[in-house]
Amino acid sequence: MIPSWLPVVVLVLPLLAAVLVGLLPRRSPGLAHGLAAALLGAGLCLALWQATAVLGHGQAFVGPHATWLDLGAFTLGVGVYVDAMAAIMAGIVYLLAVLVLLFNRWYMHDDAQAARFPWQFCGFVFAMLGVVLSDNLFLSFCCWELVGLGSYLLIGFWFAKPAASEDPEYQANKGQGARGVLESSLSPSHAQLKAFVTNRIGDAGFLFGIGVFLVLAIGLGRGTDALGWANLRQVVQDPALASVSCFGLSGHALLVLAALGVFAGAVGKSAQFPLHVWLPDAMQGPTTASSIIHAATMVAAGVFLVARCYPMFPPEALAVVGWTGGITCFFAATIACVQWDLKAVLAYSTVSQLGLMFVGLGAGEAAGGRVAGLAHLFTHAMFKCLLFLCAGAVIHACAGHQDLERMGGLRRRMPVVAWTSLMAVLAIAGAPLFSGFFSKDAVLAAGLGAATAEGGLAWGPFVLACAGSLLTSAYMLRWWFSLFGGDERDASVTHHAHDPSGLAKWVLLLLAPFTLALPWTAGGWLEHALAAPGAAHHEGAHGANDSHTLDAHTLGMILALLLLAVGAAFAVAVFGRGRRELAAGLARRFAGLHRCCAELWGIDRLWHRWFVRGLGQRGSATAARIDLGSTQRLAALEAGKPGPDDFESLDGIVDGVARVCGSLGRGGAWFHGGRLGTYLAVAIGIGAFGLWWGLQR
Amino acid sequence: MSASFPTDAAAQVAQLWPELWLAAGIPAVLVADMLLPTAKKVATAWLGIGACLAAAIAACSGAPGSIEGMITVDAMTPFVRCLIASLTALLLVLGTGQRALADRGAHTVCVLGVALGSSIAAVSANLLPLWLGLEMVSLGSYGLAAWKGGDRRAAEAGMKFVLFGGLASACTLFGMSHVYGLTGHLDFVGIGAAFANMPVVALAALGLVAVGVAYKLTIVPFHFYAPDVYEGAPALSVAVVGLAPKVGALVALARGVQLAVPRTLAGPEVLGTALAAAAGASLLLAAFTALAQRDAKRILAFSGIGHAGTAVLALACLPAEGALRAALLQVLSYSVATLGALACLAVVEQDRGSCRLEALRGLGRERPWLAALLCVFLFSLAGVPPLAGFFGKWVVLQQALGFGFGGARSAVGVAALLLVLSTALSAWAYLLVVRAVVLQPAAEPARPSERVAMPVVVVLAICGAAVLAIGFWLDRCVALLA
Repeated sequence: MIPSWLPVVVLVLPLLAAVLVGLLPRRSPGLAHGLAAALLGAGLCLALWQATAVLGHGQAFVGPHATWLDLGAFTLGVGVYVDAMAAIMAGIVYLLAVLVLLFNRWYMHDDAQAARFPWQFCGFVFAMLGVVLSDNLFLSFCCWELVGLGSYLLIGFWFAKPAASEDPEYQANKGQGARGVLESSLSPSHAQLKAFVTNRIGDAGFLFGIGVFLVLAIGLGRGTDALGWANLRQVVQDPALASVSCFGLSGHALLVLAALGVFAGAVGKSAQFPLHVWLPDAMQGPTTASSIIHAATMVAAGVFLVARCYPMFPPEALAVVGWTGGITCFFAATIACVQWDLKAVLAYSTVSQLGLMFVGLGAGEAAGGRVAGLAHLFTHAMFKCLLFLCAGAVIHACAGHQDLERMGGLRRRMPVVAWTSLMAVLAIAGAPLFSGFFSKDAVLAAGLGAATAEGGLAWGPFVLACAGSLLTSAYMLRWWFSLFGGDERDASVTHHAHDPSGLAKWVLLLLAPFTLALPWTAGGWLEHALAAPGAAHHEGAHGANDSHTLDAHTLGMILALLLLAVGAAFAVAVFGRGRRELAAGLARRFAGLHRCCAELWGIDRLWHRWFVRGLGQRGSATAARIDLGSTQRLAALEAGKPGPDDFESLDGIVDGVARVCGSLGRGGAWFHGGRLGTYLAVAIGIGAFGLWWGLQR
Repeated sequence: MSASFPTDAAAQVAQLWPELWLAAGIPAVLVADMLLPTAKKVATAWLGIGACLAAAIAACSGAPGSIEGMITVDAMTPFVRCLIASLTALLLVLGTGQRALADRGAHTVCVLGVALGSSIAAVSANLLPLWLGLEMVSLGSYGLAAWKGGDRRAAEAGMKFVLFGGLASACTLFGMSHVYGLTGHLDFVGIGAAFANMPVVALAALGLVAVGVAYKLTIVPFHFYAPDVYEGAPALSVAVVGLAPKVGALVALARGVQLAVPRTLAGPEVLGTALAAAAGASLLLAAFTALAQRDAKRILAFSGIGHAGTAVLALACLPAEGALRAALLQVLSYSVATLGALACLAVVEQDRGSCRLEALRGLGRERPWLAALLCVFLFSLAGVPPLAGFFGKWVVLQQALGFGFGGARSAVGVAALLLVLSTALSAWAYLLVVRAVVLQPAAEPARPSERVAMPVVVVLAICGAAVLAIGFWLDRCVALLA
């Protein structure tokens, strides 16, 4: 058994690091990185200890728990809960955090603000660990919001950078296919806001879901630690649930609503359709920040939360999860195919892969969906982190250029980056022997299993996931060949490229082995650890049901290989052999489709039109009218003059109240001006009046 | 006079030990002042402090009892006497920190006289000791208000104080003569019993007696002297004049209301309405008028008027259980915060010669600790939650809202709402001071300031701790009063 302080220390250490590092002087980024990395490294050791202990013991560890709020009808607590998936996730978060931080020291070695990075980063890691290790939904939500704050800070790290439309460098270097992006709102300060606000939409659903869960828990008389995992599991299994009714909704309907609410939060955080729009813009942050956001901390939170709440998800909600994942997986892949920005390709690939995870989760426990989704979350974290670090190295080496069309042949100048990123590309494409093959095959098998078992609409997510996977291998190889394959296309961009130096190179080399399947499949430890307790069939006790899943497994594997082969063959034929005109021809041939994908299916524009301009601007105009009343008043206020008196607006009323109080005060002060005669007259007057009034009674 | 004189004189006199200690302090100080060389006159203050501490200890160890028809010592009295004595001790300590204080021996005598008067007023159950107490307070106060020798404003403040105070005393004495003429009694119980059969007009006599008490409490409309005296007098004198006498007057008012008010007439309701009206008027006037002030001590004067209104509002619920306790807790929290604030202002006054808001600018840079403490005291007065002032207002509000609804009591309910409103409003006035201290830069570059004298630091520390502690140990404080 592990000591009870261990998970708490694992959780709090990054917070401590954030505080300590935040107190260091600004001028010593090296010290800040070193201290943060040392503390996170210590945390990594503890997290690994915790993981081995929990996995070895085969049982979840229920850590210290305290009641936070006792509101009579229900209580809310704070505490830690470490089961296998939390332990593994915590280990991965720590590992990637340490490596990314080390890499960042090289990446930001000439950035004057570099010392700001480590403490924000540590705070971010702390928030994510809070989501992973919390023992109830409410604490998860709190940390979830902190994750949002952390991403806000990191995405806006270079907040002073101008918008793309006003950035001469961006305008000079942007690629041919730069369409669909709203350049006027493409800046770190805008992107951080976009991420935060978009997530608010999902979080509104999350809060709603929490509220419904709370209603269910209180309704069933399980108010003690109302939102704790164990309590919620009992709520769901309570036979009295069927008889609950609220607002004319049955208990099951409420459960579906609650699950969908929680899933809405996950849609926001894990960048699923239609709330994915923030993630590509989040590329405005430092690439190292992107790498941790895309791998372990931010987008992983949504998938992890759904997996955590899995027992509370009824089949109807899981169907929504699967469909959302399928749609996202496919459509993000189509967009990724035509992006010119090397980070944008990776961003949309993340969106697509997250969709794939949700397809897995949507397949249901029986089909092995939860295990598959989680496995893909873990393997994806590793190779996506590596891909982003490589992208960062390339961008750094090419002096900020990001246009795929102008690179090429970099494998000779940056061999380490080229070959490690190739491993990651093969992993994400799902090549045999690589980790992606293992997990993607599991997801497809789960999807196939669920589809054959249920039929009808259940085929949808599976088909979409297959289409997405096909495209994945194509666009990821396009990405690699465009960067590293062939000959140099624009020497002015690539001529002084070189591998990262020192530790940064070792970070890449360290991450590379995790793109292989072996670390994940050795002894089947991962599947074994993640398997639901009591599900014996993974142990090899083959029942009648098992031949069915085995079937799906074989089919899924064959399918995955087929998809890989087709996609890869296309990419190798077109981009590997330097026949890029073929791709251009295809783009001309299907100009409409190409344009649609390049313009991100118009979703960004729609959000802009409906939400930003429609709701936001018109709403703030209305609010300004209520607040300020007239435009003259606004103009006067902006000029620093008192506006015309106007009691039709809130501002006017507030000002009016203040003015009336001030006048009364000045009036009162006049009576206290030091004139003894006034004093006596008033005192005698009031006294006489008081006597008269009292005697009237 | 119906007081039957004691058979066991020694036991009766023992009821008065605290007052006797204070009284003994006065000749001791006078003699010491004559004997000591000028450089060592500060020892007179320590003598006074000793007398105060002895009085406080005697107050704590005394048992309830009475000198029939003259003095009443009840469950609340030890706390009240102790508060008066310890406030006075703190003030004398503060005085030792002022090197330039003129005529220290006489100053100590005046401070002790005020304390003695307050203490006597607080235990009196008869119009004679009440009158004696009030006059002792007045005489000491008049002198202290003008203590800044040669300062025109201080002299003017003292003069106004005397004139206004003289009028109030005249009213009180006039009223007392009527009361005695009507009832033949001077003790509160006897007066109350006799008034039961009188027409309501007779209450006017009691109203006139109350003028003197209301004057000490700075209740509207007898508050007018306060802003001028606070502004003109030195901060130390303001603290002497404004704190202990208020405690004494408040307790005297409470005792008068409890004992002397006729029960059979519509008395309690008329009285409750009158007190609530006076409280409401004080609250409103203080809150609004403070907004227009530009001198920190003047703002504190209006703060005092408002807080007196709050305490009187608690007394308006008086037959109710806990009303007096609420009033005393309110007065306790007000006293420590105001003492602290005035101690800070005394330092500023020495440094800069004035407590106008312009003079306070830049204090936060020059003396950060002092400025921070001043802000804490002001926040407490404004009623910001973890601090004492919040709980002082809170208990009164609780009392008034629990009491003041329906029929004749609704005046109390209205006054309670005014309390809420005025709390919100008056925060602005306190924030004016905070803004000047913290946000606004000094007009001229900061001078190298002397260290704050050790006695001042001690007083500030005690007040600061009390302001924090009362909030944390509220139930303990309430139990102390029970």
